[in-house]
Amino acid sequence: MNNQEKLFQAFASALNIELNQVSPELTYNTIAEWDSTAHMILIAEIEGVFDVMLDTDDIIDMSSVAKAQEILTRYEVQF
Amino acid sequence: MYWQFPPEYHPRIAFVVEQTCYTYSQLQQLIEEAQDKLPGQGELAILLCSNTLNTVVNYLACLQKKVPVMLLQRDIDEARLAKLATEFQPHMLIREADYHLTGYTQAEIDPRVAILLSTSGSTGTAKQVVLSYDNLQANADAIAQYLPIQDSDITITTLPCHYSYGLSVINTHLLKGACCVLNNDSVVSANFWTLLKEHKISSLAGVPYTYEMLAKLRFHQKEYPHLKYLTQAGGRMKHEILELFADWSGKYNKPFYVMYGQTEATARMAWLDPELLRQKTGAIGRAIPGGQFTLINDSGAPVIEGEGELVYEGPNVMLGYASGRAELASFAPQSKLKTGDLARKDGDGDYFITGRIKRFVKVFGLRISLDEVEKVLEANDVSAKVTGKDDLLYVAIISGEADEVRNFLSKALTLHVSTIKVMKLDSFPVNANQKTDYPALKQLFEESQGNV
Repeated sequence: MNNQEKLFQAFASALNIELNQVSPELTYNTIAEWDSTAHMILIAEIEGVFDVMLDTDDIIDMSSVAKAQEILTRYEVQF
Repeated sequence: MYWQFPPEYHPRIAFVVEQTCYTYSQLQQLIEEAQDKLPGQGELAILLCSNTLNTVVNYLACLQKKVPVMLLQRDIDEARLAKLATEFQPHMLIREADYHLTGYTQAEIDPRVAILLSTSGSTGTAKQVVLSYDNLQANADAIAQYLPIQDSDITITTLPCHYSYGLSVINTHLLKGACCVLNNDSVVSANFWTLLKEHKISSLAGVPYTYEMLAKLRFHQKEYPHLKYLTQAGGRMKHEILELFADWSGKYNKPFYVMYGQTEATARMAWLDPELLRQKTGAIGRAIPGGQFTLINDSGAPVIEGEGELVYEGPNVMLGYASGRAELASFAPQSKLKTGDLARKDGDGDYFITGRIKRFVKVFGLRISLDEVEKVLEANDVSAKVTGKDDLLYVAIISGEADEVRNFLSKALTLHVSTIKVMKLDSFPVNANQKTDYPALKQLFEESQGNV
């Protein structure tokens, strides 16, 4: 699995949605499954999968799949 | 009364919504306009709440006009709303600026009835806690005596206002002529942090889950110069999270108030002196001003030493419960409230919660009655036995598909699927009396960790 697949898989399992529902455009609070509770589960999932510790601002800013990818790049995760 | 504003409050700012400030005199103007649209005194209304100006104006207009009002969450499930409307036959349904007459005619309601609040999550029960005008005022007065709320303070809504704790934050700030920024965003949203900085927020209120999210956001690693104090209620905090905030509190010399309450007591019953937070981590402290605790045993006799059920007595104990319109006609309020929590008292008179008698768990701050979850499943032809612990619901079934039950409950209770474990068994464990053996059931789940 490459890193993008890992990221999509992390979203699918944290938000409990099908993998094919995950796209770069998927955005916080636009689907019922991605609420504040799921967001914290998502952060834990992403931190575990990529072995990173996200900053406060990055946790708050991680408002879409594309944004997550952009933020993770700064933590030296290659996409 | 906190819903009537003395003249000296009039020029002050009561609420901030988006970029607009509303003074107490502007608020009073809006309340009077809203009153014209409300039903008459003593006629029941349902108010669908979110932290908006319309909600607080309508809520205060109901209190001023003596219109008994049931506060429900704005995004309530339609079926549940319909059920409550059938049971309670409200004269009017208020949703933001929409005042909808239902067609129900009035019936006698006890004149003391001020508001009706739900006790637990969305498990489908119609049971409401009924609070009087005196309850509301007494609890706001007591809270304002121990919390350092100043008229210059600005707080922000971090909890829904149909929830007793969230409502008490608004009530106490109105009482003191202080200001609330109305916010509906979670602490994990960027907008919340913008508001926090922009309005120089002086206090935050949170349930254990709020503080877990704040801890995850590494909130405790910074000072936030404008914050003066934090409050916590709504269940027991995990020890390690409490430690983080106790450290933060000590380091920056900002009090952290650990409190204890129930909707049945309007909101608040106890608070721990923040000075004692380090020394008595995990304690709920003492009864609020005007209140009193006792401990009783199984037969109702007072417990002097050791553990007993915590009983509260005070002017904020509810009028009673109601499941329908007829039950609102008159109340014979009990002065004492059995909390369903087990507690002990230390030598200084501070209380510690040691366990729970009532069968419920808190899942991400939401109180879930385990018996009600069983009823919800039963209503959907699933025979199940439900137990759990905080942040985890254990559901045992003997027929049907575990995944289906899990997804169904996740939707019905609006809980994340990761908080629900479903296990299929051949039969439910029973004890010697042929009753469900819940401790054994819980054991089964704990032993099969990871396999469910």
